[in-house]
Amino acid sequence: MRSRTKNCPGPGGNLTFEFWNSAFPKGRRLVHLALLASVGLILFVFEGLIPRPLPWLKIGLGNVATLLALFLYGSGGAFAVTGIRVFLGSLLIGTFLSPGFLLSSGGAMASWTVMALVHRAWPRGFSVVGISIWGAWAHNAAQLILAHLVLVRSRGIWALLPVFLLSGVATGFVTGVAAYWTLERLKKGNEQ
Amino acid sequence: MLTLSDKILIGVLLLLSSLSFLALAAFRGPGQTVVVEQDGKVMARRSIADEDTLRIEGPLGVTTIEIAEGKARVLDAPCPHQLCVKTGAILKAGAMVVCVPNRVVVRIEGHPKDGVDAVTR
Repeated sequence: MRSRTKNCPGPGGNLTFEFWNSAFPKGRRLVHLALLASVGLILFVFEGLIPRPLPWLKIGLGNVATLLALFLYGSGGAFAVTGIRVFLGSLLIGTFLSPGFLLSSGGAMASWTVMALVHRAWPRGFSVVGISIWGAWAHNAAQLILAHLVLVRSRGIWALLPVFLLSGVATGFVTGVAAYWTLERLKKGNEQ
Repeated sequence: MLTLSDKILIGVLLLLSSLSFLALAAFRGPGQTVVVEQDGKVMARRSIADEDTLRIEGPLGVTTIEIAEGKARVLDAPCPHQLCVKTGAILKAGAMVVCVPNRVVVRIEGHPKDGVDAVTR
């Protein structure tokens, strides 16, 4: 009886994880990306619960997951993590296919594009903090342009440009530092 | 934590945003409407071209606001520091005079389409 349970690579058994890894070499990547996507989703929903002093000042904590995916698994992984967060996040907070959803997904995609391009073009140039600021900035710029095209065809909206530029630096910095600390922790965990 | 490129990026973006703040202040359009609020409630709306004197009752007493020659200012206030009186006359869209003790806000609105239309989450 005892030896039977020991040798069986069933659920919960010691062999499960190694078996899984050898059978599916991409399994680890898949599991980690799924984990990052859910972390990003939770951060995104959680952030929506925090009252904001100014409607345009949003830290963008969900981007921490995208940054981690970008640095650990490259631009493809980051794309998946971002896409899942935007889609499921909008379903969770009930903005799916609303005008706000257009702005939020457009911002997220612009942010991913710029971060992936900059990360690929200068892999050693910018740290995760710098990439995060690039992303926040692209996110804000895309939202402003989309808002101008879709919601308000008024020149008054450009009055928000300086605010968006400045808040992009601040929020990108905060998100980037959070991602940096997490990456350092992960590195330490791998060395042990 | 920060590389050299990071620092350059932050510096350039901070410079850009402060420059755009200045540029925007310089090109800010003329005001259209004077809005007077007391405790968050709009008490009066006047065109900036009007000539009028408004008396607004607050917790400390009466704040007197004068609209004249396309400008608005607080003439007299019951607050201790008189900051609202010292702010002087305002005329451009987005400018405001605030009296915290008497909870009076005088602000100037520009084009009616300015302002928040939607908030994304």
